[in-house]
Amino acid sequence: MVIHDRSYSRWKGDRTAPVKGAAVVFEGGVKRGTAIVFRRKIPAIGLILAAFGPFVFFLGLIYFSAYAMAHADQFPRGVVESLKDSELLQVITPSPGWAYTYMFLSQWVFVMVACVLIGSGLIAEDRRANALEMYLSRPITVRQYLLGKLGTIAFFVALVTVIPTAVMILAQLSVSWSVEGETLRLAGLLGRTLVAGAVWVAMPALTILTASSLADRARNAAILWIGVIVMLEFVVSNILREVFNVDAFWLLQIGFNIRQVMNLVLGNDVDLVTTVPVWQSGLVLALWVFVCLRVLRARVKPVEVVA
Amino acid sequence: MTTGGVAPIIELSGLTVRYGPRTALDDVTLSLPGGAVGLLGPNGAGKSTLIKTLLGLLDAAAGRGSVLGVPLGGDVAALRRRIGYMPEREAVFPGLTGFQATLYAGRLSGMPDADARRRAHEVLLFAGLEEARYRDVGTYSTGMKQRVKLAQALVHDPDLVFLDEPTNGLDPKGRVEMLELIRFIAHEKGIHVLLSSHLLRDVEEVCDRVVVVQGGKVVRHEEIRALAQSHGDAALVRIAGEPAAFRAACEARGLSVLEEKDRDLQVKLTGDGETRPLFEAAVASGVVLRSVRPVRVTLEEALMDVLGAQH
Repeated sequence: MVIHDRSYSRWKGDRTAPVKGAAVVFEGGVKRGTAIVFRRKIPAIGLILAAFGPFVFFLGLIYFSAYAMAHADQFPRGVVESLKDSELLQVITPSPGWAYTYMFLSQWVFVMVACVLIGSGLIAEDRRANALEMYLSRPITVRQYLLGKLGTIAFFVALVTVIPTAVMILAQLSVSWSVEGETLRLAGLLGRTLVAGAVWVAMPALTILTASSLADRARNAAILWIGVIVMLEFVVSNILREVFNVDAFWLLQIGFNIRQVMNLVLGNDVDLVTTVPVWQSGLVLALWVFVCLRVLRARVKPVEVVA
Repeated sequence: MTTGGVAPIIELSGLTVRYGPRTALDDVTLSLPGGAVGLLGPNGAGKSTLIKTLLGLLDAAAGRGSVLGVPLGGDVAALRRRIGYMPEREAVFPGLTGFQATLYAGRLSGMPDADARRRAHEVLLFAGLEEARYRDVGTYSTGMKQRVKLAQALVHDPDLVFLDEPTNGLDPKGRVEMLELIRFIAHEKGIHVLLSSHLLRDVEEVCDRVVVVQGGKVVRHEEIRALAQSHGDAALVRIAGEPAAFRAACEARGLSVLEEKDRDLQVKLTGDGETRPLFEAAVASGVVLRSVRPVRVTLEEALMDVLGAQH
C-alpha cells in the first residue's frame, strides 16, 4: 500500500508572495545570525545580559521612580525624599548627553561583537559556499541582496544601541505624559536619537559588510575589519597627529567622525577638544559610504570572471 | 518563429557574450522547441556561459533572444520565477539544513512561506532526501548535495529547468538515479529541461534533442537519433597489407577512418552504408581485406566526428 506519494507533483500557486526580495534575505540573515549567537548558549546568555542588563535595570528604575512619586503615600517618607534629592533622577532622565552615553559610549563593545560575530560572515560565507549564484539566479537583484544583508547587520547593531535607547525614551515619555513641555522635549529627543542612531548603526554595518565581501571566510573578514579599525583608530591617526601636530588627522578615525556627527544631531557639545569642523567629519563619512558601496557592487556578482 | 508548430521556449539570434577580450559565445542562433534538450560540448565550450546568459546573470555583448517568451534583458525577475537552476559548482546556502535550504530557495523564488514549506518537503522526498532533510547541508555527501541542488531548482515548480552537469561527482548508482529523476520530470511532468553536460551518455539517456557547442559556437542542433543516423554506419575492417596506403585510398573515396589499430581499421561508410568503396579502396591500395564487419556508429562517435570536423 502506498502511504505517501513520492512522485513529483506540479504546483499551481502564486510566486508573488508579499514578503520577497530583500525582506526574505533579511529574514534569513536574522535567523542565521541568531543561530550563530546561540551556537554556544552560556556565552550567548552572558553577552545578552551584559548588553541589555543596564537598559533593563534603568527601565525598571524609570518605572519605579515614577510609581514612587505618584504613590508617595505607599512608601516611607524618607524613601521618596531621598529619591527626589538623589542624582538618580538625573541619571535616568533622558537628555541628549544621556542618549549619547547609552547608545555610543556604553555599547560600542557590543557593536564590535555583533559585527565580528554576525556581520563578518554575511557575504564571505556566501562566497565560500558559492551561494551568490544561488541567490542571484532567483528573482533577487544584487541591490536587494545587499539591502537584505545590510539590513541584517544593521538590525543586530541597532538591537544593542538605538532600540533599547529609544525604548527607554518611550518609557520616560509614557510616565511623563502629563508633565507640560516634557512630552515635546522627549519626542524631539526620540527623533534626534533615531537619526543619530542611524549614523551610528550604518557605519559599522556598512564597513563590516564591505570587509565581508572582500574575504571568503568570516574569520578573515573579521581580521581585516578589526585590523583596519585598529590601524586607523589607534595607530595611524595618533602617530600622524603627534608627529605633525595637525588636528585634521582626527578625520582618519571613523569613530571620531561618527561621534562628531552624532553629537551634532543630538545637540550635544562635541566631547573632543578639536578644531576639526563637523562638516568635514560628515564629508569623510559620506566618502566611506561611497567607497563601501562601490566595493560591494564590484565584489557581489553572480558570475566571477577570472581573466 | 516556431519549431514544428510549437512556440520555442528559447530563441536566440546572433547572441555574443564576452569575458573581457575573450569571446565565450560567438554569434549563437538557436531555436529550441522545449522538452528535454541536451547541451553538449567539451569543457570550456560555452555551455555554462549560455545558461548563465539565459538566466540573465551575464549580459550579451550583441544579439538578442527570449526565454519562455521573455526577451533577454527584459523582466528578469518574472522570468526567474519560472526557471529553476542547478549550478555546476557545489553551491549551498551556508549553515542550513536540507529542508531549510530548500524552503529558503522557495521563499527567494517568491513563494509564500506556507506553500514553500510544503513544497520543500515534497521535492526533498522526490529527490530522495527524506531521511537527511534535517541535517546540515555541509555534512552531505557529494551525491546528496547534487540532490538538494535539484530539490532547490524544483521547489517553486518551474516551467523550465537548467541543469548544469547534474551528475558531476556521482557514483554510478547515484548517476542513474539522478538521470531517472530528470527523465521523469521532463517526460512525465512536462517540465522543459536544458541539460548541460560533457558526458554524452547522460544526454543520450534523458534528452530528445541535442545542441552541440564548441568554441562558443553552436555546431549542431538536432534530434539525438538524427545525429547518429546522419553519420551513417561504419565497418570494422581487417586488412593484410599497408594500412597507410589503405587509409589514403579510403579517404580518396570519401570514407574516413575513425580508428586504426595495427591492421584493424574502423571506417565510416557513406550515408547509405554502401561497402563497395571499401573494396575499391582495397584494390587500389593493393591490400587484402581479411574481414569486414558492420559497426553501428554510436552517438559518441558521431559527436566526436562533429567536434573533430570543427578543428
